Amino acid sequence: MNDYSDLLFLIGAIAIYALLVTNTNQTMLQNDRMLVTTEMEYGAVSVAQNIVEEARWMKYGEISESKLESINTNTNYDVKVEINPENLPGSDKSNRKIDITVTEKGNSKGANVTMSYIKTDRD
Amino acid sequence: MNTGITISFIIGGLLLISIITLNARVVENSGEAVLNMSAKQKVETVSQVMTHDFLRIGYNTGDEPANAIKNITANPAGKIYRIEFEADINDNNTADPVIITWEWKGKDNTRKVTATENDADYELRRTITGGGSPETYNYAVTDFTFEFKNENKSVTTNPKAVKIINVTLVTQAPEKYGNRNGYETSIWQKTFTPPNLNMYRYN
Repeated sequence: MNDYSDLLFLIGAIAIYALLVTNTNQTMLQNDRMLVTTEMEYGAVSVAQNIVEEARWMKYGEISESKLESINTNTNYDVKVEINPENLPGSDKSNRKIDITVTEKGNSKGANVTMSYIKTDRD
Repeated sequence: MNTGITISFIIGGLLLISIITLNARVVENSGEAVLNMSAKQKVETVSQVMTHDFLRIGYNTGDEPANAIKNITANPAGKIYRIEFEADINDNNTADPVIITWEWKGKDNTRKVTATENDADYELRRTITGGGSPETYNYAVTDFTFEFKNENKSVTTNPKAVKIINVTLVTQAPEKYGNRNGYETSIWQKTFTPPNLNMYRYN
């Protein structure tokens, strides 16, 4: 053993410790991110529900993507609505499937909620 | 003293401080997560009860649904919000409507929640009247607003014209973490479009 062995042990220990710290930090960051995402998801779900509830009471002919998108007033979210004809087996009415996707604005990894609603032409 | 030992002490000391700080941060982080969940849980509780009530406004009352809402108050300046409506809130087969009131009186001292350490907690009160004595349920929330809108989505003060109810709810954790300044907070916003008030729109 020469004089540098202690130093080498020390460097090794610090390196292992550094790994631990980095890992722990990452876990804590992940935790925080989860908390924020959950909070944003709560909001996103209620935004999507608001649109479904509005769509429920709109007349079949009045429904349009832009109209539904304009319902949202919460500026933290982007809303994308897609309306497609839907063939329901056994249904003699015309139906449309409304897909509502709510995403957190400016955060591609943030909350992302999709809800669907089938609107039937009862008129 | 030997130089080697002195340097070892310094390095060891630094490492020790660093480990202790790390440990403190881990504990703090998990404490925060728990408190944050507690704030969210409060939102969850109130939102479930409120959704249950509001979707039944005017249900099985034996009267026109338009008459279901008896009284509304939305006073942003005084922070006073109140709604009183008639609804059958259980799913048995008999019509037994009751009067339900949701009331928020802002930072009213008589409504202060003393059970929690949080000074910003006040009672959001839900009262059920009908048959027997009124039942009261209190929820500790930090801020609350109602916004009542008519079918054109403009704010209204006429109870009979209300078709849409906007709710904003803010809750905070009952305690804060250590000596932190703020409490963990959670917000919920929801627009209710009660079925019985909006069915006529199918005409």
